[in-house]
Amino acid sequence: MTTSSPPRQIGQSPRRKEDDRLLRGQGAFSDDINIPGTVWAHFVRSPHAHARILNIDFSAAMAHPGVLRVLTGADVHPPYHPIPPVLAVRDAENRDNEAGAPAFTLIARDKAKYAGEIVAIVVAETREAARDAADLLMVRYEPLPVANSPEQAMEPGAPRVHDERSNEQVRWLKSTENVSSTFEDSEIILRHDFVNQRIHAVPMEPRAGIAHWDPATQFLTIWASIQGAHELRTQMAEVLGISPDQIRSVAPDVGGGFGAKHGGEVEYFLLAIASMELGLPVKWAASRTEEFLSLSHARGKTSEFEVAADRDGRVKALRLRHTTDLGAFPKGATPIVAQTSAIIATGVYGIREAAFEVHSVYTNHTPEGAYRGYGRPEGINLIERAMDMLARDLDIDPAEIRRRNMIQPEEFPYYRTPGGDIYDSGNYPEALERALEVSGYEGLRERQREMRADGKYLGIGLASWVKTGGFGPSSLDPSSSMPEWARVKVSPAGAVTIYTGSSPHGQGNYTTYAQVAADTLHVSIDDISVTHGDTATVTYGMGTFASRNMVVGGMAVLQASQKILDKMTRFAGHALGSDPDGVDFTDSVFNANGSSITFREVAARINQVLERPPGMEMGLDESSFYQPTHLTFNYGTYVAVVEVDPETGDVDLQQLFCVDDQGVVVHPVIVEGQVHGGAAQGIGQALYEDIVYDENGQLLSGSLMDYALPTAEMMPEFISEFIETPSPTNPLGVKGMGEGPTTGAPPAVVNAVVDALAPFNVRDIAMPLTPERVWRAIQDAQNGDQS
Amino acid sequence: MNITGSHTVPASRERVWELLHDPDALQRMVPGCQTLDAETPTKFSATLSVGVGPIRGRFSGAVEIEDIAANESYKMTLNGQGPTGFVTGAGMINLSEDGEGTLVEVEADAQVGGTLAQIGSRMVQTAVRMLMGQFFDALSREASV
Repeated sequence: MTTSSPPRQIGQSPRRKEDDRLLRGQGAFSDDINIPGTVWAHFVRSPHAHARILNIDFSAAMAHPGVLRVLTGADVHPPYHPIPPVLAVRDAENRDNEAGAPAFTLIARDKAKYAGEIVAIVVAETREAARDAADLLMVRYEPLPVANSPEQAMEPGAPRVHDERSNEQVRWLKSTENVSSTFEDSEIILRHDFVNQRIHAVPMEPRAGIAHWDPATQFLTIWASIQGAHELRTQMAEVLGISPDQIRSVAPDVGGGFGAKHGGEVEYFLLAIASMELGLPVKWAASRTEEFLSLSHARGKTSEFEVAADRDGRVKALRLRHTTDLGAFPKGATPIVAQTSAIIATGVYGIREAAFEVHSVYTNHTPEGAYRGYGRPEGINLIERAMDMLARDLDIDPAEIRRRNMIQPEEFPYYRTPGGDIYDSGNYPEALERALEVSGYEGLRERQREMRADGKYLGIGLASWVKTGGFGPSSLDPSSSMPEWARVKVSPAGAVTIYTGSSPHGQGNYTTYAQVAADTLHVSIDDISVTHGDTATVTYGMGTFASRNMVVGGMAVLQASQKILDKMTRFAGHALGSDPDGVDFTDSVFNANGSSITFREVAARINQVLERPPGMEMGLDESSFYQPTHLTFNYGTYVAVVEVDPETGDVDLQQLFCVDDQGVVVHPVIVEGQVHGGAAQGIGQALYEDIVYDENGQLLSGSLMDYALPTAEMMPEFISEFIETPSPTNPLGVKGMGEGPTTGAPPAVVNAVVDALAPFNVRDIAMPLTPERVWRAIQDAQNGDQS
Repeated sequence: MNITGSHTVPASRERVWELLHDPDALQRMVPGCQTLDAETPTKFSATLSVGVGPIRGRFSGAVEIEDIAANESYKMTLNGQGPTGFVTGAGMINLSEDGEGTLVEVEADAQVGGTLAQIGSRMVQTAVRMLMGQFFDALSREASV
């Protein structure tokens, strides 16, 4: 078959098909789902970070009008199981962990391990009755000493989070051969300790779910605000001890996830258990404070970082001791986050020697989980801050020191880093040079000099970053298959339906998957609908996480569309008296031997028994698994421009210039939106957001009054440009892209603030760069107390 | 969290001391106190209905008095729990002569947990200061009866 049509939809920005419905408030989120006879659950959570549960008296709660049932740890036992332990760490050869990961218990029974852990569930006829009755529940606790930081938790004699095992879940060591000798021979050694603060994803829609166990059919239906319906079904079957075929799991409209809604949450399993116990639909919708207490936190790490360089600023080696605060339980695959975070610390640079020592430690804090970037932002932040420190020490411009160290385009494809990542493709110097050009870097430096003469402090910060996408098997874990599935169906009238296992929570799949199928099948995206997020209609699925939506899910759509086109071409060849190889498909028309048949005609006539070639089944309905073989690595260089007021410490972030290589861009407006949104979350980490615990492990930032989530007014002007090297890992040439901007923005902003304060000799400020911290850093530096 | 406060009561040290150890008077003076029962002369159980900003609820707890130097000072420890969290604390109460009256000084250290900490910590100190002010006013009124 030949086709002479160039791609018509990929690369265009059609209006998002989902927006009309969502913008008119016609979406259906989990809290919008109502079933007659629904009752409400309220979760009672431990006020202590670490305490024995001595007694739970629920007599008063049970007596409250409308209360149907109180469930405690004593009720949740086999056949119900805890959430199975996760993979502790990849690259088993280099790991050292004395015991497997503890299972994530659904409900605390003898001991509460973090403030916010569920100790009881009150189920009542109304939401209000459940809440009121929960206040009547009397739980007697015996508070225990608290493991309040990973460092303290690793000390001998520290309080154990899990009585049966030490607090350190895993220690992972990896080194290239000549790290020590390279350091010994090195002219310049830079050492710095960095703190990456814990933050919280804050999806706009708090979690909500409704579970309905039907005793008559022995069948469970659950609607939940999650990133993957199929994954929830798999876990649900294991936890409940029933077959996946007894479960329908639905992710309806989901208002943001950012990784935090990846994987089953204890609350959803408990809703299902409550429903099974009562035989009624049970519903829950989280409050914002509940989300701060119990939905994953992320990024909490401390790092001892060393780089060895020559006097020209060429970095030869690095050493990293990286410690992560897992919180009380391993969630998703958090022990892996520390590992992926460490190995990306060589960044976009051709550093040949590196040694990594990674500690993943339990504390009496809310469990950490995935959050947009999955460890990579913490690792990139280290090398990008260190590059600026080195540049200052050696009096080299920050752009020049990056230029001297970057991996060169001819080293691609498939550049292997010392940590074991395999970068698929790119032109890192091009992104840097383009960012300098777009931002008018030389002019900014000139303006900085002029403003300093006037006592004003302009700062310019660079960050060159790289980030994984398209989760799939990685070089560290080749056995992790992570495919995605799609089905494409064409009705006799020519309408196309895509079924995908990757459901969106803001990514725009409804439009972008239609674009992919439209280019193969030459139909308008208006004639394509997309079905997702429901195990009753979508046979298989992995879900949307780790920047895999287009790379893996989109490829499955492409493959299934190609199968449809193959079959249609065979039919057309038969109809036109030609071999399929002699058929040309152009502008939705099959041509051979001087005659033609349209796409719609094939769609209709393929159902006629006398028209099909022998052996061909009726209908157009094909499915495909796409199995990725490599991760993709998007990258870019960002330039932040700030002005800092040294009197108040206030940072005015004025502009963020973003030059990204996201591979082939399917929908430029959606991709630019991802750059803005991702960078906004990175700016939040750099300047505002902070999860704070007091000395007893009490969460102090438990509301949006206490946790500074930036608003639109706190955003800079974004100037976004793209360069494009198609990824060699997949025929679409796409790269996962949603997490890159979150990785690039924090070091760009921090570098800019520290650059602005160079005249005060400020060398580092730990995020978030609040006015108080900035002001104190200036005072400390002035007093000679180098931070 | 550190809590300090002081107030001069227009009464003798002996009278103030007596009021501070009289369960009936305390129940009248402590804001929101619903019950106060002496289990022993130095151990009390109490229920309080208090609110800090949006967080309101009924707290029940135990109060113990130690290190008693009559008419001069004592140590008080407190353990309270309610639906919105818990409060634990220990403080010293000192009485000294101040002209015609008695200077009462409180110095305490307290911990809060649960919702009180998560969304109330900004307001707890202010609220405690306000409640202490109400208590001192009540103490002055009782003392001048």
